[in-house]
Amino acid sequence: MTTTSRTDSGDETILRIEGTLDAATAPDLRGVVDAIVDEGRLLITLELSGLRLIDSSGVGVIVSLFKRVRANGGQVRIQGLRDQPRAIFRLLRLDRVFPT
Amino acid sequence: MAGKSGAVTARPTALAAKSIMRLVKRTSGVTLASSFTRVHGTVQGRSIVVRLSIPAQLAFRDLALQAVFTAIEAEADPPLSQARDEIVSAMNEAFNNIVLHAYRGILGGRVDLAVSARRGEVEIELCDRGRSFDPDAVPDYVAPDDLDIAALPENGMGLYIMRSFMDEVAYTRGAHGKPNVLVLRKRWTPEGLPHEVPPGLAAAKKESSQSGWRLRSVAFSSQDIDRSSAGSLKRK
Repeated sequence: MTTTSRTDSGDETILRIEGTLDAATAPDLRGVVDAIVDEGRLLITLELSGLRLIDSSGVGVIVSLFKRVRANGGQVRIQGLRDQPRAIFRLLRLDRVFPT
Repeated sequence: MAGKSGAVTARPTALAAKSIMRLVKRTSGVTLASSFTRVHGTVQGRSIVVRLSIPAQLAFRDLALQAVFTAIEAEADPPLSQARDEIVSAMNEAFNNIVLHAYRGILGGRVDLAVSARRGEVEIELCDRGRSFDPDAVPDYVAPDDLDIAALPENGMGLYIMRSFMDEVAYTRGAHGKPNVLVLRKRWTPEGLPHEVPPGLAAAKKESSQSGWRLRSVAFSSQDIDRSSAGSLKRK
């Protein structure tokens, strides 16, 4: 189960993702990502300290957000990555790409 | 007649061995002999701790994970957190692949799970009767360059995660009533004990680490190879 909460503060959007982001829950996050991109939000912070588990489907949604926001001239920053999600990001070398 | 039958069975055996070795070479560049042998549904030299048949649905993935870690904790020293995370990650990708790809559009599919554990080691076997895949046809994941944002992949990472986090990954395509079989094997160092690494394994690990890959190798017994059929080994 994934819990997401979005907070807009000025130009910045903080998206907090908690729980499990996997093949079962990633499709739900895609709608949130679409909204953020469609609204032209350019400063995105993903707060992932409550993210317990991620799989490649979940990573795919985050990468999609990152690419689309970057294509619009914005930036996606990641906070709080730890444990299993951190191991996945390191393995895929995404920690080199995402500002943390 | 007996000789003819023998000739018929010899061909798929040889082809199966060739296919398996191709997978081994491609994933690791290293092939090792091993005393580890399997026969259908059992592991010689140790007991199956858990066997489970579960619906091929994502909702049951946690049950599969629970079976794996219950077996580990019952029969083996629990792995340290890093190995635990790696086993969880690989298992998730393996189960996802079966549900989302092997059984895509197929209702009622099942995953037969067999977990065997001993101190510092676990073997996880996942069998399905859905579509098989050709590991050689799966594009390698390419880690992104810092500057090449557009090249960041959004999918195709599952097999890479399995291969990277497990010590051995082997896949046998099913056919003629035989299931697809994916075997994941992971070793870890029990706390306070030296890791028993055979000399050949140590050398292979060193070599594989230089190329940025972890060791992945497997040796099958002839009984295992007989489980495969010639039809299962054809490339797509």
